[in-house]
Amino acid sequence: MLEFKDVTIQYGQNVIVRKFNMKVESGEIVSIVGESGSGKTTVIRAALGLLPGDGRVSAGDILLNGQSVLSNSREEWLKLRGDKMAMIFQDSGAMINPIKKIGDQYVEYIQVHDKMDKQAAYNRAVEMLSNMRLPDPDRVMNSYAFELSGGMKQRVGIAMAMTFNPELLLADEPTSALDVTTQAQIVRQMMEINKKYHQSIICVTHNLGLAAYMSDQIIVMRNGFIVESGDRDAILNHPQNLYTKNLLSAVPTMGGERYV
Amino acid sequence: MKVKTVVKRVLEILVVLLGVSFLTFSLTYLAPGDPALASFTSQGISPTASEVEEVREEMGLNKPFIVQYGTWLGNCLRGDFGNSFSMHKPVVSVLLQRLWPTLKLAFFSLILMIIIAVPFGMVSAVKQNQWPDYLVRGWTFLGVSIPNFWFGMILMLVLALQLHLLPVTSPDTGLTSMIMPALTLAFPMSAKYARQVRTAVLEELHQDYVVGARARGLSEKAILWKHVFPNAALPLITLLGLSLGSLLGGTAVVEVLFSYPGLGNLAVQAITSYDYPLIQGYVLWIALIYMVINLIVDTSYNFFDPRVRLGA
Ligand SMILES: Nc1ncnc2c1ncn2[C@@H]1O[C@H](COP(=O)(O)OP(=O)(O)OP(=O)(O)O)[C@@H](O)[C@H]1O
Ligand SMILES: [Mg+2]
Repeated sequence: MLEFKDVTIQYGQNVIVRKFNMKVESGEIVSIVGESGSGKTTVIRAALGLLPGDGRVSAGDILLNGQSVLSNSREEWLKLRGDKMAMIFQDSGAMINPIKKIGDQYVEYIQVHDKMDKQAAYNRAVEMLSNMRLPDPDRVMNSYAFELSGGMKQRVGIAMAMTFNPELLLADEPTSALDVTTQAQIVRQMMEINKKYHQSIICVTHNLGLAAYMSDQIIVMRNGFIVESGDRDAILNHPQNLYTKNLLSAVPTMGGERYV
Repeated sequence: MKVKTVVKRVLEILVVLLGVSFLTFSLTYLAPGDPALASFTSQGISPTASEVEEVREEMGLNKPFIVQYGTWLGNCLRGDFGNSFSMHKPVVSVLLQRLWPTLKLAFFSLILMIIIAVPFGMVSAVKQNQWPDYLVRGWTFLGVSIPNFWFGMILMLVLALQLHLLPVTSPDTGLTSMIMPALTLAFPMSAKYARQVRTAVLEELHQDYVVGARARGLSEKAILWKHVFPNAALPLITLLGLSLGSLLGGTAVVEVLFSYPGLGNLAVQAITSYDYPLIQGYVLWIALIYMVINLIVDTSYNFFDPRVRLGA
């Protein structure tokens, strides 16, 4: 469904990601792990055509269902973004307009993609927020971003991204701002939707335990390069690269839900 | 804004007004020209020395400075700014009569300015470093460089004398009378504001929430008008208040140019005829209006920005 072919990404003259290859099948969950600054965010934002600053794909190609997205027009992106492809950002709070209420923005978002009246859209939003274990979703809807905690804002971002069960969900450290219980709950929900709607997920994470728990494929990045990639089991049980081995040894014991 | 800060601001206004009143009174006191003599000459009478002396006594001009100031201030507080020398009417009624036309002109200019500045500023920001941006920037450069009375004269020449679309002068305050003076005031201002809008919008376009909105699939138009513009407008509100204040006080040149019956025109008349009570009243009023408008604008700023209103 999504394929990166020898993708090189640079900010200005700085080449940040080199020859990145990745193939995500429909219904598959792929995790990208790697240290801070290795280019994980850069890679998944490229998939949505939303590289920050003056970032651009300078070589290679990104294909969605066989079609290159690099030359997509604004209108073509409009049809994809928020509907077929959605993104959970590393810092969801910053992705919300600070002077408009969460509820207004959520309803606006729903109405852009679905011919619902305001009340129906509002109810749908409240339902999604409750799924994220947000207490008192009505209050959240009636708040501005600055009135919520970081974890609450993150859950708003996750709820928004999951509203339309996108075919491709791009998640940039979706749960690192959350407590362990909420994290487990949300990851479980992501996996449920993945099963139910045959949705593809690319999940960036620092947490190798989480990657092990949810993914089919794992990609290990360092300094803009893929150092190792492949089936989860292959990576976990027979890591070839020293860097991956080090990452793995940092996780106390392997396997099982308790790392989530 | 909290009640406490409003009270503080009001107290500040009072203190500043006291200072302004003292300054205007001393300046007119020290200014050359004899108001007693002027009260005759403005009526075309040439009085004898004893007649002038009589009037001086009557007007209290022979008393010590501080006594004159005290009497004057006390009267002002009771709403009595004295009688205009040249018009022989209470200063308050003269000012009131001229206030409304000036307010009307100021608001009309401000609205015209916004109608011109906002679209140009937005286009300039969205098409940054493309030809529409260069065009707008060229225009704003011209706009801030051209003196407004000159622009007013060009308008007069073209719209009134050549095309006969509008009256040359503006003896009343009807719409047709206001168009040229308002345009004259709005044009240089809109050039200045178009730049401000451009800068503010450019800054907002780089914010993360814009990326968030794009990721949610909102159209560029919706992002621009519903999200970027309200954010960009916030810092401009204070500026707008300052402009409104200076429009109310500083439209004299344009009002004189078009013979528009506003406060600015009145002030110039008052100055040329040594009409001290009128000058003093005018300065005090303008100071008061200016400060009250700024207070209102600052308060409304708090109202528009939820982060400030809710004390984030
Ligand atoms: N807007 C930008 N302009 C220039 N360089 C950038 C920009 N955004 C990121 N970079 C650079 O790209 C590199 C990769 O950044 P990226 O955000 O993709 O890392 P990451 O793997 O997501 O890190 P983290 O785990 O800390 O989120 C970093 O060296 C960073 O400095
Ligand atoms: Mg990142």
